[in-house]
Amino acid sequence: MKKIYISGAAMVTEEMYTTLHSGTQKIKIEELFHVPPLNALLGRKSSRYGRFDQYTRSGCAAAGIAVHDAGLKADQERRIGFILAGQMGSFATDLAFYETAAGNGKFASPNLFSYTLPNIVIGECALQYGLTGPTYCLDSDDGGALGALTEAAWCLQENDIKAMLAGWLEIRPAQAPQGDEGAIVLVLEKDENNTMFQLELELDIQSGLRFPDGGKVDGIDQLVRVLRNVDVGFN
Amino acid sequence: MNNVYLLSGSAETALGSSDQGLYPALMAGERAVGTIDRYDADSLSFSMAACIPFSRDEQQEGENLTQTLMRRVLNRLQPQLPPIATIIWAGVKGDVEFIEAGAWPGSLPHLPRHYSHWIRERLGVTKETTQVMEVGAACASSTQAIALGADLIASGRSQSVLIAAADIVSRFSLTGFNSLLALSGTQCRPFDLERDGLMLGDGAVAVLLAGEDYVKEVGLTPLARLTGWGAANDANHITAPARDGRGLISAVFLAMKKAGVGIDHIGAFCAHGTGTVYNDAMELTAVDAVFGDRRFPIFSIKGALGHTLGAAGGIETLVSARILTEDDVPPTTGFRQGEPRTEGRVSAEKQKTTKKCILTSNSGFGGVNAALILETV
Repeated sequence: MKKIYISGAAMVTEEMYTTLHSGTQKIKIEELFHVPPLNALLGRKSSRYGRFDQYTRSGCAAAGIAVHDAGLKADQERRIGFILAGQMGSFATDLAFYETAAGNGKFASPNLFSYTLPNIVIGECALQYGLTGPTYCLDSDDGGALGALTEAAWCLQENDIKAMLAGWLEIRPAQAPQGDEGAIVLVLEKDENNTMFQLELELDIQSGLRFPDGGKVDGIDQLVRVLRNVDVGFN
Repeated sequence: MNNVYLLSGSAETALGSSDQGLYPALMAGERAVGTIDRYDADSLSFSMAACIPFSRDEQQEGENLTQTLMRRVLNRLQPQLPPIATIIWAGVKGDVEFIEAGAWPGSLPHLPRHYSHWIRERLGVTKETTQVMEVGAACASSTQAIALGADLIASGRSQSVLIAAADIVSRFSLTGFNSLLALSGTQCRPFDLERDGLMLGDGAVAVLLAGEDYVKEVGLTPLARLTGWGAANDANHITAPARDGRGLISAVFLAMKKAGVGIDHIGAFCAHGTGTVYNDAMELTAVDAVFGDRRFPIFSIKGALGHTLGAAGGIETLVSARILTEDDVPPTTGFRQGEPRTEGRVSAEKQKTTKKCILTSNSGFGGVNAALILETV
């Protein structure tokens, strides 16, 4: 049985973001990249955010806030990875790109095309936050990003992995059925940190991810609900 | 850690299927390229690609081309296999046919990029016996999915994993890569001094990984052992590779470490080799960093059958497994003259390898790199 610690978290919606350690900030997603401490955290490459689609903007914001919340720093010795779930992926951007490719295709937007894969947001996060570990999108039967969460926990068992981000990101095209939208990113570590609150989980082959009392983890939403009940700011 | 075997697999490409035609055509240096006729490509500035011939008559009701090609592959898999524990879909642009048709898939049973559910139904298995997953890692998707499948088996979390992927030469992808100036205007020439871009190709593939118990139950001889796998991100750029090859170097070293092999064990390298200036230069830089001045066969099959996006890694894994049994490494179609770093490595002629260990890798947008090591059983 392996111990896993959630050391940072961020939930981003169109109107606000919430962290594990610093509470809730009401702010529109499009303003998020101009506001300290996020601006200080994201630093010199802030010029790129203007070209992001909403999918990338939401995911990159959530990952940045979660990394900051956990006080996580990339280092030379051990890598950080990111596994992300979401049903729609880049579908909204795919539709936007294809509109530009009408006619003879000469005006097809290279900028939009660059964002027509669901893992591009992870690539943006990788270059902003120095993520050099395993980085891919993963969906599973379980829903609730449980597959991404579980695989991130297993990746953490590799010696060269320092931390893993696991998340859920959903931006729906206008035509899509209504449903949840936004981004949640959790920071998973295998080392206990005595100076910051961490939510402890356990991992084994038989039962997957579970709480120390034996209860099964059934998805990222459930973890957010649990974190909201902990009096450290995630509310 | 449990052993992981490449038990079986099948691929459909413009140069033929893996069961018939593909391997001899690769060895003969053939090239599958033609004018696209499945949509009006005349108005586009570029309309050449490696397309798989198909007839509308063979398509089942409601089926798109991605599914038709995938169905061909699935039909060739062993029909009597015990239920597969995990199916991982790794195609990257399964939604484009819906988008090009102007259709909203809301009334369909699955979202358009989620073909794993459809494959589960085709194989006649249910959620009770078979879980499904979907991996998205751009052009390294099926390689990353194979690495994930290997992790599932090695850790004892699954006994059998089917990795499936298909991507077609869509108008969406053609105009997109053209907008990035990534398409060859002449001929795709991986690792050539005058290379000027990639050629898109249709591809569908299914690769079955299995643990020891499943192999014994099936009673088939595996194609190869999958002994090493690794993945790393460049953290450099979303569409361009890191010029120093850092992500690929890291992925290859991780795979070699897991396999417990050194650089002298690797008999050949099936490279991503897209034919773009920057990708191929990055790979040669990575090869130098990992292998020093060692000369050994390096090849790309994308000059022959095009870049099949998410399916590429799976197809190249099957080709690599075949090389382990045949000892012949295919020529790099389109290659004429390379820079000094290609000397003694890349060739327009087929090459020999006597070592029973092969490296294959793919890299993609988002900075992803994944590497696999296959060895003889």
